[in-house]
Amino acid sequence: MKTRRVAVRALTFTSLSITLVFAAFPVYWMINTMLATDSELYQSGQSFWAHLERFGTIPFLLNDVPIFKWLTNSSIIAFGSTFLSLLLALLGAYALSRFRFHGKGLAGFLLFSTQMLPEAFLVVPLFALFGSLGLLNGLLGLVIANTTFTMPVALFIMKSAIDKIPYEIEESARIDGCPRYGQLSMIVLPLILPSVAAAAVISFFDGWNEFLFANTFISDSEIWPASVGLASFIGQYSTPLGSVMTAAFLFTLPAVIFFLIVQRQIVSGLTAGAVKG
Amino acid sequence: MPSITFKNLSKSYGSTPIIREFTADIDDKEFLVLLGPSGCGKSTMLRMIAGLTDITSGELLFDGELVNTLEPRARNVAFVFQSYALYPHMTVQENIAFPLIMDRFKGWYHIPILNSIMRRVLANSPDVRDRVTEVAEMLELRELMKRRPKTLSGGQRQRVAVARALVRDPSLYLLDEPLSNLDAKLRTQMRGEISALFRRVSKSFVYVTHDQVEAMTMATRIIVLNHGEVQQIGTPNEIYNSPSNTFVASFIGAPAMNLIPVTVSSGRTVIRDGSQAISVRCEQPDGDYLLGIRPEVIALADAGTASEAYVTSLEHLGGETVIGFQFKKPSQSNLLAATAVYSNHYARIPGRIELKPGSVQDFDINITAGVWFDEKTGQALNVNSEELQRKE
Amino acid sequence: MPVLVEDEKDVVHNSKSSPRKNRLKSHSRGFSRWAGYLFIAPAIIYLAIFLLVPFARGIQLSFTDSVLVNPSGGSFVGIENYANLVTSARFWNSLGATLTYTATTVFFSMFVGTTTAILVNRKFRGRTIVRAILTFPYAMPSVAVTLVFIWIYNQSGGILNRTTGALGLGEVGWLTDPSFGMFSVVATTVWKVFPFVMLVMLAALQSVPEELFEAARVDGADSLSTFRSIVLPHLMPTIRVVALLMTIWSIRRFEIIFLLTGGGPVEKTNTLVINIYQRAFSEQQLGAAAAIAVLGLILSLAVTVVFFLAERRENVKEGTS
Repeated sequence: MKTRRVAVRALTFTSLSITLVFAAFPVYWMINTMLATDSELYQSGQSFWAHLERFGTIPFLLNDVPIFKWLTNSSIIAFGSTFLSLLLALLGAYALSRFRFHGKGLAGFLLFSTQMLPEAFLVVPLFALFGSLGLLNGLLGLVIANTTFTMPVALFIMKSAIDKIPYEIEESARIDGCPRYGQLSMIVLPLILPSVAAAAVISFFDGWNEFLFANTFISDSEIWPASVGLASFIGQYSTPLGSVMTAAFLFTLPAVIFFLIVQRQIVSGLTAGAVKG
Repeated sequence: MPSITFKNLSKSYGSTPIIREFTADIDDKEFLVLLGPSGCGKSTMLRMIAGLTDITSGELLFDGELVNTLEPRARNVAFVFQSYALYPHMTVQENIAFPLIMDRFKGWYHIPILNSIMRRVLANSPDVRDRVTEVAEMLELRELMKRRPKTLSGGQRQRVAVARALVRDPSLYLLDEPLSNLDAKLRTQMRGEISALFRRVSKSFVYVTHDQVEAMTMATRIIVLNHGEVQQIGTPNEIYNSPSNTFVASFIGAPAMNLIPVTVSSGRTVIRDGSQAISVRCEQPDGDYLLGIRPEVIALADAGTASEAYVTSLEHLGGETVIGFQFKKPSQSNLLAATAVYSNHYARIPGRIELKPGSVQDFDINITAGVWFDEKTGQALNVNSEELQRKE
Repeated sequence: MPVLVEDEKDVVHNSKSSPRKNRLKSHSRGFSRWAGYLFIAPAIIYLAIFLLVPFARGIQLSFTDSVLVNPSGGSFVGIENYANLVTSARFWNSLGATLTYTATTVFFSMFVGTTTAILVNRKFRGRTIVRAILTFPYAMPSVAVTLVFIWIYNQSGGILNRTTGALGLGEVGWLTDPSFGMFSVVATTVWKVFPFVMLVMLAALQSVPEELFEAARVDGADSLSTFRSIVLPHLMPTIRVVALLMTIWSIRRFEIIFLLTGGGPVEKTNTLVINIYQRAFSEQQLGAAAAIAVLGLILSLAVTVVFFLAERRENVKEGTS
């Protein structure tokens, strides 16, 4: 019995270590590459140990890449689609959770369908539509396109949060003379704030990471978001790889930090969205 | 302030009727209790009075004025929910102030951001502050003003709920089983406090409960409901002593009124199960009846002097003993298991009585203190009620 | 037994919840229906304009020979686009790539994710840090992921080939060799998405009631049979949902494949999504691209419907519907 226990323990330790290396290595390699020069990378061979002492050179590395302009564009897209998504989603979630009306099931299905509909299937007709609306080659078009896919996720997250609030609390407010919209803004909204935060983070990073629409709709490199800007370095070698990696690292950092903070809500939110359809 | 009039009030969900053709007149300043088992429609009734549930048909009048379609706020009612429904994100103070703030809220205050500023401004206005403080003092909540509901005990939450109801000085208080989430001891205490509150504010109360003790102790008038139909309207005394049918008889009282199947022929009353005659003469015309006798009216008698029965169970409650008995000779399994309603009866005898289950004992069934029910319809045949009233 | 009378009522009272639920549902029927429409309207109108209209437009485009420079200028060609598709080897290859990619990605990310969840569910020192490191890949934007992996897969300077070279196995064209392209893409994807599976499974594992484990211990069950008879049945509903999500997301996935291989080498990783993009924006044939989109949509719809039917049958079997 005892030897078996030791064996189980050893096995656990080994497999966990392998997974940990599997998960962490590419991230480590990103940092390692950031701090390596092109001649090391392509000629003498990259050192396995990262040149951490070169961290001070990072600001200089960024001179090669207009990353801050691109990150600004990414933030505009992300904030815009977050704001729009949350606004539409809050109202819709309240309706789906608290009201009964004809076509409610249909509305729920329409919202759910966005989750199984690949963006790429819509990119062609959206391109055609935005072309005629003059929304191509502008950040507003990206905000709109992203919201189509993030709003339903936010909506389902908030709906499942509202579902958990006892109905009596709103009825109580109604007795106290609070109208419907007041019940939403003064009672329901404060109570679902954690879920709203999770929905906000999810929407933000959908907008932050989005590539397909941006790559298709935006031709002017001035208004590229960071995802498209960084992808433009693939297959071209004139910019030092260390600089590209540094820019990618900056692009990654906010995503990772936010994700780790609200990780739990995000995971339950994403699955809630899928299951509660 | 208002007298409440129900005119053929009905409620149904789809084709399922919840309340059927309810008609009643309730005077001002009554403590009305809607009493009935769960699912009888009593909560729905309360919600219709509040305006939270719409009325399918019929009329609801406050002081003769139709209020069917009025919003809850316009009816000037306060509602205490079973779950208390306190606002979890507000402090006790904010909870109590909320109805007052809403009264002073203008439409444009609802604009986002502005709305939270205006709420703060209104909460700090002297009239709101003073009123909230006054009510909080009345309910001894001063120490808890900055706490959130989550941190309060059940009894404290209950008091906050009452304070929030009280703060606007409504003309009608609606309470939906407000004590059912409290433990037994606290329940007794809060019963007293709500009664005291009723006397103090001297407004109309409508109180929903399934607990007959609450109904008997607090009500000035009780409406007994079952399956959406009114069984009886009356004072606690009337409900207890002259139940209008067998449902009310068996719903009120613990243990409930005994319903003994009897046959009357030319003045002689024969207990059908025991095939014994009761010596007292009876005025009822010949026929089959259910004789309703409260357990406390039954007395023990010496062998051979009264109705012979078999003891089935014995419970010592300290000051009194509850004896279960039946007229039919019980089988062994009957003695062990709880027995059917009609065959098992109870007597409440003061003091500690020692009897052996299975033994034979004479019980004095005083039919003059009984209520006669038609065996088929279950309706009371009001004969003795006059006499009972006098006796009380 | 007189005392029972009160208790009985309490029991009845507790079971009140079901009529209450009914009441609440029906309650909001009459007066507030319009309010319901008002609240849902913005979201639905939005989707109608930016989802349904493009969707309908996409179907319409699929019956035309429209080209990129003039989307509205195409003429109606009937089912020609579809006919061309079902007779072209390229389309079937693309469908096959989609299925291969989806099946392998779902299988491996489920496997790695679930095992890791079980591993980190044990108590050990530094568990929080380990979990944080393991979630890292999921939080990383796809574009950043591909940049790193392209360098790792690099023919001469990449760490993979330097390792295989050092081991005397020679160099591999991870992204250019037809027999390795799909492998590299799947490996990258699994690296990126397994943490999601892990997090969801971890949450499900933590919701296994402690009493079940105690009961199993009392019954003398060893850890393997405990896992099989208690943990696994408890995880099954979650596993099904996550598998569905993973499938849908795999069919949808674009950036990783597009940036790593662009559908190559020799169309080995040319999934439907990549195929649509290339048809539309490289070959400029909007009509043909739209036709692939429609067929692809039918595929993902079919997956979802099959899942929901299976789920319903499962629920009926368990009596929890």
